[in-house]
Amino acid sequence: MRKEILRLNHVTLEENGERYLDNLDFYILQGEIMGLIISDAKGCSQLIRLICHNIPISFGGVYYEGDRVNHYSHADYTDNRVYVIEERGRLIDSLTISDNLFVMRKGFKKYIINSRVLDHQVELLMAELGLSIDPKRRVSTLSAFERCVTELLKAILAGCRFIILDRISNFLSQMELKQFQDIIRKQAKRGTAFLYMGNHHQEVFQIADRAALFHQGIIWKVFEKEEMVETALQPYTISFDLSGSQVREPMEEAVLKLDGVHLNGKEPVGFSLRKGECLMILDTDNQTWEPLVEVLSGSRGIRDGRIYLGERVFAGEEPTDFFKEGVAVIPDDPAETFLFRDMSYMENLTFLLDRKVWFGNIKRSHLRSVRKEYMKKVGPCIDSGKIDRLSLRERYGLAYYRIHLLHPKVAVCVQPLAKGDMYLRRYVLDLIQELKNSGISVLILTSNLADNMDVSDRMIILQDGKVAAEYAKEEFYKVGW
Amino acid sequence: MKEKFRFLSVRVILLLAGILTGFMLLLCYALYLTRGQPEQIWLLMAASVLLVLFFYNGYYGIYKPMQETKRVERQFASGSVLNDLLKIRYPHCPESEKVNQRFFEMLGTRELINVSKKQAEYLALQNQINPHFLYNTLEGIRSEALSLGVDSIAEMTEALATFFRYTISNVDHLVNLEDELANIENYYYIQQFRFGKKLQLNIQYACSEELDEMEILQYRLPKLTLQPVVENSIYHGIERKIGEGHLIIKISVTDSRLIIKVSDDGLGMEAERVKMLNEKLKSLSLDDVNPDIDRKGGIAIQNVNNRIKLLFGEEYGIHVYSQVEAGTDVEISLPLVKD
Repeated sequence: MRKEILRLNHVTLEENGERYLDNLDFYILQGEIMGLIISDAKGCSQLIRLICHNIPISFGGVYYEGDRVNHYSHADYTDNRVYVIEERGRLIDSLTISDNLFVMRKGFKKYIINSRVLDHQVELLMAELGLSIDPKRRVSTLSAFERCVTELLKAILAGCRFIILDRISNFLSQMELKQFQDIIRKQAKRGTAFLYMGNHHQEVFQIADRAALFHQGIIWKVFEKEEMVETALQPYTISFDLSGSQVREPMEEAVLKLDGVHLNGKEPVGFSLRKGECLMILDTDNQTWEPLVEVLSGSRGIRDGRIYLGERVFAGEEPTDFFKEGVAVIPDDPAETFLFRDMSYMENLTFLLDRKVWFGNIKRSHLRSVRKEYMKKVGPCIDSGKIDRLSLRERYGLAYYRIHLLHPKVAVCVQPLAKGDMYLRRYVLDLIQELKNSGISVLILTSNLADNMDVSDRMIILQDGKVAAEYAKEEFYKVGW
Repeated sequence: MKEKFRFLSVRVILLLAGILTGFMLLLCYALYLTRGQPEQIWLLMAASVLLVLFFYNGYYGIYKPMQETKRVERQFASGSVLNDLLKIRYPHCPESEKVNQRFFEMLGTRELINVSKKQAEYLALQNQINPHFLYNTLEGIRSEALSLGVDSIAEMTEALATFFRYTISNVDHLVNLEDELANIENYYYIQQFRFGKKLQLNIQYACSEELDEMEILQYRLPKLTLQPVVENSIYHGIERKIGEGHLIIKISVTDSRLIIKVSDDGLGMEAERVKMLNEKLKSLSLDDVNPDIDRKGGIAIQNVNNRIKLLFGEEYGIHVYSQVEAGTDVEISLPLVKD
């Protein structure tokens, strides 16, 4: 009989008068990978805190390894032996892998540390997982995948029998994700239980033994393995079909072209983006998109090859200000990194608009007409004095509409759907479609397929830094999770 | 204000606040005495230690336990819990604990169980039919059908008689899962005369290396736990659905629980209705333990839930997942009970 590692019994959690978890009732067995499909992210962080730290709840009880560890009548804030692997990471960057795994472990009391012994142990542990990462490497030099593996080892060494994986596909590439999922499966067979949280059901269905659909603090449905099919989820999802919206057909003329550009891989990269087109570049091993973004945002130049932007040609290691030439980059977390918190909505929206008007002189009449035009799209939040109080959806809207207003030739969207829940992803797709409809060519750089396919006209797959395949929209079905 | 003074807890808090003020004054006085007299510092230290001890013990020894007790009482008053009142860790006094126990005896948990069980007898009770009269009549119909060569009527009558015999007699006992599932299969057989191929039943066991199907079937559960749930799935989920309806009963066993999930792919329920139903199911509710209103939607499930919670505790019971056009899953959680 399999042991119940975690059980939430009718748990209701309220904070500041708002209900974050509502009558949550589910269990996770030893050696089980329980998926959690996040349809709406409200309550996610509270759920993780509750499982890890036994915070006070309004109703119900929590059982960990058979013992009641939390009850609505009393919460003692004790910690459960649970490890969370998330984007933020819990390793110390300046220390080596061995130091992070052993020296920083609770209960490590040795005064003289034999690093050779520790390194050897790390090598053995890595070999068990089928990996060979140098234990002397500092954590700051590790890739996202290597960090995840190190964190997993840290959890295992700390004796955690339950690990939460919080939206790891947000920072792992498609190939890294598959590799990490294989490791998780192996570890689950050894008895470790996992709560695999993900925004995309395809991703969760692929790995989970059972999967729960989490929506606004409630579990909507628990899918058994045999129920994990696309059709079973349809009644619970919103449509991502954009066929109803106005679509502008791309023209043959290339607006951006990379010819033999050396980025990070051994092979040169080349592709062209047509006018009015939405091109998705799927970087399966996370090697190319970051240097490409650096080049297009003007932080670095290129060693070889040429970049064509309309009639103009750019080459050389000197960075080029592509924004001036009509290329705008929307970073992967625009709500956090693209907006100015101490500026108003209108100030954020019209930021850099001075470059578009004569002598940089933005008149009141300009602002009035911008306000009038965008009020229809975003609503009364346009009058917000500070953007702190805006919802995530409104902040995403602001970031994309800023680009819409600037109307560059090319908008580069970096991992546009990585962060949000189902409703936000749908909204971002609408925003990208709107950019396309206004005649802006869109380049989506992503390491995950997800729902990007719905808005893209063409897809290029990069592997080991070179173009491995190219698909037109009607061939997208060939590329699956 | 005068109204508040009626409560002993308010008086205790006020008394503690008074003592705390006294200690604070003592500390101030000690501070005053030690000014310019370093040899009197022990007085200040002693007063500080006393204050810290008083504060620590007052907070962890009185205030927090009092809050815990109040929280349980508040949930009881709002109707969310029942048994937890008996499990209060810090009762106000021995007498209040005895009062709670006496209250539960008066309420008669046994009586409550009996009332809840009446859902099992509702047909007979509501129609004032003598069970033996019913069996004899059904047996008569069966003989008549056999003598006329109408086998289908004879089989249906036999199934109906078996169903009533299981339903009406000996409702007090826990039964094996095997018997309960046999009753479900018999009930399905009867329903098939009406629904034909429209209704499909599938029973699945989550077996493991240590536990096979035969062992799972030996676990015990309250009689007629499954039939009301299956009946609900058929009448509220599958009956009005166009096309085939599938009913799956999945049985899993963990180290501490028997989990039975009854799933249908019928019409499902609106999110608000599911939320309301689960809100009622999360606690033991006495409001609906009334045999007169058994047939109204969802009441049968609530009665089964009440029975489970009364017999085994509030950590067991029923939880419902449903969505319009997707179907409904009813998850029944029970402790592991074997002969």
